[in-house]
Amino acid sequence: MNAEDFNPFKSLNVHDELPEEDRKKVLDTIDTMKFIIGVADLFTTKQVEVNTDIFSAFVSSSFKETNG
Amino acid sequence: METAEKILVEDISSLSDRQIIEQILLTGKTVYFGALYDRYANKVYRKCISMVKSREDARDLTHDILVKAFLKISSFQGNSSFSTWIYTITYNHCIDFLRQKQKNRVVEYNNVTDGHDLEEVDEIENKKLFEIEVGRLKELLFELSEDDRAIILMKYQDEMSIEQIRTVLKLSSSAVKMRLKRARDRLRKLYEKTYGTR
Repeated sequence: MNAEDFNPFKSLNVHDELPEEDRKKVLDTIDTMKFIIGVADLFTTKQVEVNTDIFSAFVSSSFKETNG
Repeated sequence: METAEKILVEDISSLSDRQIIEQILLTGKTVYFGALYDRYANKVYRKCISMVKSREDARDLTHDILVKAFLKISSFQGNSSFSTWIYTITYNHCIDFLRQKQKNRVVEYNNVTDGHDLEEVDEIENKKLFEIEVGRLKELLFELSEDDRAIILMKYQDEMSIEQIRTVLKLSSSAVKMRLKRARDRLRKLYEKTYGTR
């Protein structure tokens, strides 16, 4: 490399590497977050869907009972 | 199962960042994020060390930044490269961390433009900075404020354009140029003060 092209900023900390176990930690945290989001979703969006289904079934059966 | 996983990993390595992100959004599989981790984790870690100095803090920050990146990945628009996007999260996260640590420190910045042709002085100033020896540079950077350090690293380590820095810092182009000039001046003065005028 030409001395004039040398950029010392590019050489900062180049030998520092994360320990191998950190990869597992990050991916495990992500899996946990996905699980939590999934559970939260179950009790919000999906719960509304289930409630709507139950309500529709109830209304439908009441309607049938009333109108024979 | 193990073989299928192995094939998948080999397949992923041939994908571009953008294709991997599409797969994350499509399948939600963590293995795809693992591929992005392999490409960027050490780069993020090194940037964190450059910002916060302590390797322990940098490890924790890298963990948080990468988890944050995964959670926010649907907001990646593809207007910039993935590296620029994740470095944006990195700088902002590190700056927030340092500000939390030093709540009382007042960093003074004004959005002033003084009429100097900033482009012109760029070339000469860059040359001066590039003459600083790596070990000294590392020490000097920690003498600067977190904002100065971040903008210097964005410009000279990541080679971000003014436009890209402007997006990261949510500033006008002239404010970025002014901040950059001031940060560079402070670094140069610090160097001269510490190691003598050359």
